[in-house]
Amino acid sequence: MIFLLSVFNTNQNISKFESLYHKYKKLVMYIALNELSNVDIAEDIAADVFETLARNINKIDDVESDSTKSFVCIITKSKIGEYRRKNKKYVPFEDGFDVVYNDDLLEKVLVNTVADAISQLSERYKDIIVLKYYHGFSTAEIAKIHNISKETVRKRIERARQMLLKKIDGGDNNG
Amino acid sequence: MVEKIKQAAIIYNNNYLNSLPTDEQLNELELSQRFEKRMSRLINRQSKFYYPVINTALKRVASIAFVGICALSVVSALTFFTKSQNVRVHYQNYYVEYSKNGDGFVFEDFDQKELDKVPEQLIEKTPQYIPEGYAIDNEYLGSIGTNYSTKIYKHENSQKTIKITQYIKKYYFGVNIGTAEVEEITINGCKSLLITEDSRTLIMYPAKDYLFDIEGDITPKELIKIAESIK
Repeated sequence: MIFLLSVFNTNQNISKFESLYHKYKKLVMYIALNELSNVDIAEDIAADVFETLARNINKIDDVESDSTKSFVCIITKSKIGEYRRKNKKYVPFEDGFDVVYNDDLLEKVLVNTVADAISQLSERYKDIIVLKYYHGFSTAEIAKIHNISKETVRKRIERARQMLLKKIDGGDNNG
Repeated sequence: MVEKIKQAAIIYNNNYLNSLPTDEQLNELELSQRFEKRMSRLINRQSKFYYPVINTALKRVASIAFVGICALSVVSALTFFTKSQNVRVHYQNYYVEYSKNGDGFVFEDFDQKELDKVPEQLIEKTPQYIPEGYAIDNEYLGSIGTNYSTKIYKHENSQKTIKITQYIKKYYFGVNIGTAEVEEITINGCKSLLITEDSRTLIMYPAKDYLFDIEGDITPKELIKIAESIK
């Protein structure tokens, strides 16, 4: 019985994956091309994105939902970031903070201001905030998606929060 | 605070998704044959029954196997330890008795009637097998506490030695083992002891009339071969 259930589940995943591919293949290519301006590299990135989606197919409930679309976009941006990091001779240091901002700052501002501040963050911080606060993924799940350690995820979440608070406080306008 | 970030993340996400081109606009984008073929292979691979197994179940099986191997290692280690302990206990109970000093023991379960038949005069026995490169270096007779004879073989290059001592079995015999490992082995049908500590190996071989103590910096296999060849 368990075997039958697992087969059924597998078949369901295959059709889900096919639907996912047909629904988002062009969107993934669009994002990759937009960022990298090279068809061959964009296609490699897109293939990598779908390999990752195939491995994480159980995290996707409804192929048509905005949540899935957002997840696909984040995976795509993550793969683009990964490609850029691999092809750079050095990786720039992440920003340090002179001032540690307090969460109380968020009480004084409107939600839309916070949303604007998120849009001004760099891609890596935007993605981590969306994965954490929109999708509700755990640190371990984010680590698996981005292929990084849980410790790095924790640091990135904390940095993203600090960057966000810095933007809200008006202390940084450089993005 | 977290709630406000969550709400902001929803707003940001919706804005971002709305900024992306619509499906109709994306239709203009053409994908290469190469890419479509590659993706078709990925989809076909997904339909293979073993693919999800490799990606999900196999990882779980591998984890279970890893835990199993670890458990097996622990059990093996415990078994080895227990076995070693059992051998010690066996010899303590049957023919080994710890001295009051703690780390020595004596053989004492030999059949007294059989022992009485053993001649008082020691008739020296010689091993028929000695590993290559070893030659007799020294031999002497002794009678401190018990009659015995000792033969020392030395290797021509490494200067390693093999020492064979033959005792008259009827006398109590003690040996110091300290923390060495003791294992029960059979040599020419006689229960014997293989005692190892670091690179030093010692065999206590109680043959018919005599007890042999063979030791050296050679492998237990070689020592056993020497013991088996004593005539």
